[in-house]
Amino acid sequence: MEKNPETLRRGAPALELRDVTYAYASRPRLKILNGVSASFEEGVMYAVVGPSGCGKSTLLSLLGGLDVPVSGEVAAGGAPLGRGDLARHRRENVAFVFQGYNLVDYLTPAENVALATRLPALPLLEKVGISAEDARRSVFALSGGQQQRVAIARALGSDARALLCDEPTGSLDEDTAEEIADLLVRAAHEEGRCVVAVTHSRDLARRADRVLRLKRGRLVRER
Amino acid sequence: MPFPRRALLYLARKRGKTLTLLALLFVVAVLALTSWSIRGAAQTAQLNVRQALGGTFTVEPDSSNAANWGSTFVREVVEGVDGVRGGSGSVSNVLIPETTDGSAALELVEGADGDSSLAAAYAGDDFGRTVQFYAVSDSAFDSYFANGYLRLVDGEPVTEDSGDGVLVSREFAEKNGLAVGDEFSVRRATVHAQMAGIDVEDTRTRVRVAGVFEPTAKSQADLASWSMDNAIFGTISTLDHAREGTAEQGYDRVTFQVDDPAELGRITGEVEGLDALAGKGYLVSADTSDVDAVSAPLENMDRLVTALAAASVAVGAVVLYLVLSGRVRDRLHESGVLLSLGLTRASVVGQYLCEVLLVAAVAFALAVPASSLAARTMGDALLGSASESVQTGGGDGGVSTADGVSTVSGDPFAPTFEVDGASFTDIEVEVGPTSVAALFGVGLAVSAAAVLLASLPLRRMGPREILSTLS
Repeated sequence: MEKNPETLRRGAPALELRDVTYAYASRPRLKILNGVSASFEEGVMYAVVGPSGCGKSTLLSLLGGLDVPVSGEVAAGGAPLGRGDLARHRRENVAFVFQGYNLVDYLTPAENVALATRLPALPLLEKVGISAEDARRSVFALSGGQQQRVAIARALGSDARALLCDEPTGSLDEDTAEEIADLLVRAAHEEGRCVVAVTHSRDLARRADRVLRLKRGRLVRER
Repeated sequence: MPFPRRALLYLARKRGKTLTLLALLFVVAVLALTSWSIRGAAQTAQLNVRQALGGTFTVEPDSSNAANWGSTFVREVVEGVDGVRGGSGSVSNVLIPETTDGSAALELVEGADGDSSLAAAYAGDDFGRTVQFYAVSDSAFDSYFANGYLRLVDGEPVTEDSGDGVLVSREFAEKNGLAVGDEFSVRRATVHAQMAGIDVEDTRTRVRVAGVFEPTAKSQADLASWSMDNAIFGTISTLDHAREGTAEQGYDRVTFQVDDPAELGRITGEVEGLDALAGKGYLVSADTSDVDAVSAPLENMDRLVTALAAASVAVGAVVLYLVLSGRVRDRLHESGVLLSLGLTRASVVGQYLCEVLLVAAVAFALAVPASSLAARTMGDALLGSASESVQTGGGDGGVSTADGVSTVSGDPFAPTFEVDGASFTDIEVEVGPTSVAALFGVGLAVSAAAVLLASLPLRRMGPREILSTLS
């Protein structure tokens, strides 16, 4: 998979789903995604909403190269992803932010950020509101909001053009969730990243530029 | 962040898990290294015992086919067999030792040699003063010396080139004021000369003391009723002169000494199969009962220690695999996170491998001095126990082998074996470089294999499966 520099500009499609169908191997007839096509552009924040179990996280996994569709294709920078491209895709094109933060517990916040980037970790952490002192503490010493900030800093530290967020505010209180939403919006608008957030939060969805609803295996644009 | 750095950070921050793994690897390494070292020492001890006891076999002419006898020919043929150290022909007769001019009989050691009933029967004759004269082609390989009953303590062995040289016992020499280089004479008993129809003075031959021997502890134990203190070892030319040519018949038998008694079976089989001897009526016989009796306790210990070493490595490998499997399972979520960040499986598994190999290397390094201590303590106890089971006779003498290097000596309550001056019971049970190299080689390979096996689920599962399984 070649990254096309021409596509890496605001408004260019960072990720695309092209007639994607997905079903679990154990239940091949139950199509979680059924012929879904969508384009996710840089500089835009997307919210994907829908009831639990409708396939939101599956959609995110496919976009992130954590899984492959039964049929159809996923493209990054205009180039379709083959099975052999997934590790590189995850490393170069996308960065994840999970509801459970998924920080490596024996690494400090700074070291967690360093997992994904060679850039200095402290400025990235400061950008998301983590002090230099906190950056060197155990991740267990941080609050949930702080841990999510570290996860976002880790995502922002990568060269990835797309941030894929799975319920990024799901475990946070309202104020903290608002702050995290701010960070994601800034990532899209100020850094030109493509932000795709799967969420149940109406507040977060309200902050998104576009809202897509997943219903019965189909993706419908709400806004 | 490169995986070796992640590995180091994990080891430093997860101290409890690191120390647990370190302790496990340390215990397995100490067990394996200790048993391995004791096994090596036990095998050395076995070899020492076998070599100290010596191993001999004899080749004799079949009495029904004596025409084939030719001791020189037999020696030349048999000494070519691999593992045969050397051989010596021997034939004996009774002679009377006297001063060089025959004016006085030499004083015999009381209660030694001779047949008391015959001596009594010939009390009025000089037969009572006869001693056994052993004509040998090389005293060093004679069965008495090679099997460790006698030990040369002064002078040189007697060979076919020694002419009038003889070996006498220390006690006989002291009783008669003889030293190496001194001369005396031997002759046949009057009754024998009369039976042969010759003048007894014609059988007299002058001999020179070439060496002095003494009986060993083994001799005192095994030959309690047969002292060799009056025996004389000399050449067949001396005996031939005393018997007036009758010794031309040659030696009665040839005794061969082997490097390792454990190989006696193989060697005698080869000798019997030699083209030059096969089917010509030669009798080949060996007695390994001494070696078998002595080696048994050590072989039992060897088997025990070998089983212990194998079991410790096997159990260690299984336990290690189980522990590492559990640890990799516990870290599936972390693996998923790392994979989701774009790290390759090789990088993730490489980190786990690096962690285990680093801890293993430290554990093995710590195990070396600990094993040395444990091996010495356990080895001394085990070898001591085994040596007490070895019955070698008593006294403070020793058993010399042909070259005078290997000896068995000690008192009846604390038998010790010596080879090249090192006592059997003083054998150093040490952790040698070979054992250490084997520990590091095998240990690191087993650890690496355990990590790779334990990581199989990682290779089968995608990052999403790993994450979703644990979310």
